[in-house]
Amino acid sequence: MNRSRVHIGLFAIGFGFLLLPLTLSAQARQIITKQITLGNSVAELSLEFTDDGRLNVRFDDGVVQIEDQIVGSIDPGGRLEVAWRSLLEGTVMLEDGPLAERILAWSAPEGLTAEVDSIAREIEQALQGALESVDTQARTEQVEASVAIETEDDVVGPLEPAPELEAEIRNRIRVELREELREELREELREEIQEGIRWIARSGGDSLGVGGNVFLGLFGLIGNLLLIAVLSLMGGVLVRFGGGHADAIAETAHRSPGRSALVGLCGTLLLMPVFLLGFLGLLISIIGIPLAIAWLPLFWLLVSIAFITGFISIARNAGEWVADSGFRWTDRIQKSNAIHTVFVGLFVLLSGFLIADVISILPFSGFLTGVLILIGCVVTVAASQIGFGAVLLTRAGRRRESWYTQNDTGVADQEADSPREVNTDEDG
Amino acid sequence: MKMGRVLVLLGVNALVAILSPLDAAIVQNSQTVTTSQKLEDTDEKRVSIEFSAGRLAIRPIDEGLLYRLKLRYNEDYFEPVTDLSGNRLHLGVERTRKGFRGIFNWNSMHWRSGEGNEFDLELAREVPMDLHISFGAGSAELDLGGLTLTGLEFNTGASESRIKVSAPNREQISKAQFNVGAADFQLEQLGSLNAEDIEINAGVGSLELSLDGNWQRDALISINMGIGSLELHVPEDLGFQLRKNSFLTSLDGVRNLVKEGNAYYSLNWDEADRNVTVDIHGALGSVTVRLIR
Repeated sequence: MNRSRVHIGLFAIGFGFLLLPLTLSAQARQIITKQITLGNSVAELSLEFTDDGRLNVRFDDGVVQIEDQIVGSIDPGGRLEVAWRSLLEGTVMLEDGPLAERILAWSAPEGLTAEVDSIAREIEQALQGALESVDTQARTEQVEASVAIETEDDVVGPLEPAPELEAEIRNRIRVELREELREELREELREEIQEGIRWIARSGGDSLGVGGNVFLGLFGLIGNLLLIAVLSLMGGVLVRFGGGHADAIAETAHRSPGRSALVGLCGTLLLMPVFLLGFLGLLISIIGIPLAIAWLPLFWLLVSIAFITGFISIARNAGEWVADSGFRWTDRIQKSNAIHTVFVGLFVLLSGFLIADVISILPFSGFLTGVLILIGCVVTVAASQIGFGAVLLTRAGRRRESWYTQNDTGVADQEADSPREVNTDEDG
Repeated sequence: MKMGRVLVLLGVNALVAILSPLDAAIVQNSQTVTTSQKLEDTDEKRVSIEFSAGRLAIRPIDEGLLYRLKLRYNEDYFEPVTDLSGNRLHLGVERTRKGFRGIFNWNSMHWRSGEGNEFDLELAREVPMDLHISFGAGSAELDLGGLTLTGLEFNTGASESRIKVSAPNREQISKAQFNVGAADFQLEQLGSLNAEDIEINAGVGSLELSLDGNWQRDALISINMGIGSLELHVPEDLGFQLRKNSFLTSLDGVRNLVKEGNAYYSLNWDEADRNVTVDIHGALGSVTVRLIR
C-alpha cells in the first residue's frame, strides 16, 4: 500500500515536471493592446496584457507619468525625451515578442543630471516590471532586410542593424530641423500661392483649380452683392421719382404675371424685328437718317431701362411678399421703404447665384453649383420677362390696367389711389 | 492695373495671411496615435468607424491582429476612440471642442498632399465583421478584399471615395448600403462583395460602379440618385438588367441592350451564370452603361 502511494507520488512529481514548461509558457504575459501616441508635446506608450495588467508611460510637455502618477519633470525635448521618442518611433510597427524585446533593450542615455537620471531609472524599472514575463519569442510575421556596405570593388561587410541609433538620429534630425523646415516651407508656399495667383490674374483665370474656385466664388459673390446694391439704389430712385408709374408696373406684374410674361416674351422676340424695321424706316426717309444713327444706341438703351425697371418692380413685389410672410426676421423689413423691399426682393431673386457663389468654394460642388446657377438663370429670366411685359402693358407705367378703371366712380378712383390694397383675382 | 486684378491680389494676400497662422497652428498640434489589438478570437464583431475629415484608408491585415490603426489628427479638437467592448469595436475620433477649424482647416483639406488628418486602418481577415463606416469629408481609399464581411454600411458626406473589393468576401452579406451625400464615388469589383442586395443612396455627385469581380449569386443593386451622373461598367459575361425610373435622367450606352418597357436587358440575360439587376431611381442627371471585357 505504502509502496503504491510512493509510486503514485513519484509519478505525480514526474508528470508535474513534464508539464512545467507548458505551465510556465502559459503564465508568460502577452501584449494584447498597444498604443503609441506621438505629438509635439506628448510621447506615450500604453500596453495591455493578457492578465489584465497595464503599462502606461507618458511624457507630456516635460511632465513624466507612469501609470498616471507624476514621477518628475524634465526639459521638454531634452535627451531623455529624445531617447524615449526614439524608442517609440522604433516600435510603432512591432508587435508581441519583438516589441517586448525592443522595449526591454532600451536604456536611458548616459550623463543625465541626477534628477532626470532617477526619473529614467523609474521608467526602466516600470518597463522591466511589466515586460520581463512577456514571451519575447512570440513573433508575428516580420521581414528583416539585410543591408550591406559596398565599395566600388567589393562588399565590405554586412551593416549591423542599429534601429535604436537610427531612430535616435532620425528623431534628432526631426527636432532640430523641424522648425527650420516648417518656416521654409511656409514661406515657399506663401510665395508659390502669390505667384500662382498673379499668374492667374495675368492669364485671365482660364484654369483655376481648387484655390481658383475660392477666388472665383468670393469675387462672384462680391459682384452679385454689388449688383444688388446698385439695383437697390436704382430701385429707390425709380420709386422716388417714378411714383405712380413704378406702382402701376409693379401692380400689373403682381396681378397679371401670366399676361405680363406672355407680353414680355412676345416683346423680347419682337425686339430685333422692331429694331431693324425702325432702323430701315428711318433710313429710307431723308429726314430720318440722322435719327437712324441715334436709333442704334437709343433703342437698346430704352430696352435695357425697360428690362431693369421691370426687374426692379418684380424685386419690389418679391420684397413685399417676404415682408408679409410673417417670419420673425421679416419684421425688420420696412414695407414703406422701397429701397428695403427692393433690396430684399433682389436677394430673393438672385439667391440662386449667391448660394452658388458660396457653394462653389467647396470641393466637389461643381454640379450643385451648376444647378443653382441654372435655377438663378430661370428665376432671373422669368422675372425679367414678367417685368418687361408689365412695362409694355402699362406703357412704362403711364397706362394703368383695367382694375383701376372699372368704372368712373369715386370708388374706382379710390382704388386707383391705393391700388396695392385692392384684392381681385384677375390674372392672365 | 485693372480693378479686378487689384481685388484678386488683395484677396490672395488676405487669404495667405489668414491661412499661414492657421497652417502653423495645425502643424503644431498634429498628433499621431498608432494602436493595435491582438487577435484573441474569431467571433463576429460589429465594427463602427467614425472619421470626420481627412484621408481614410482601410485594408486587410495578416499579422495576428484584430486591427492596427494609425491616426493623425488635431489634438486641440479631437481625441481618438478605440473601444473594444465584447463583440463591438468602435474606432474613430471624437470632437472635444466646438468650431470648424479642426475639420475645415488648411491641412485636413489637403489630404492629397499627404498632410492633414489621417485614418489608416488595417482589419483582420479572419474575423467576421458587420462593418459600419461614417466618413465626413475628404478622400477615402478602401480595399475590403479578403475581409470576412457579414454586413456593410458606408456613409459619407462630401468626399472622394474609392472602394474596391480586390478579393472575394468570405461571408455572404444580405444587404450592403452606401449612403453618399455630395461625392465622387467609385465602387470597384462589386461582385466580390458577395452581397445579395446592394443599396446606394446618392445625393449629388458622380458615381462609378464596376460590376466586375466574383459574383457568387444573383444580386439586386438599387440606386437612388438625386442629381448627378452614374457610370456603370458591366462585364460582358454578366447577365445584366437595368430598370430606370427617373424624372429627368438621360441614358447612354444601351445600344447593346434589349429594351422591354422601362427595363434594358443584356443579350445573355437568360443564359448567364449570374444575373444582376440594377434599379435606378433618379431625379436629374445622366446614366451611362459601358460593357467591359
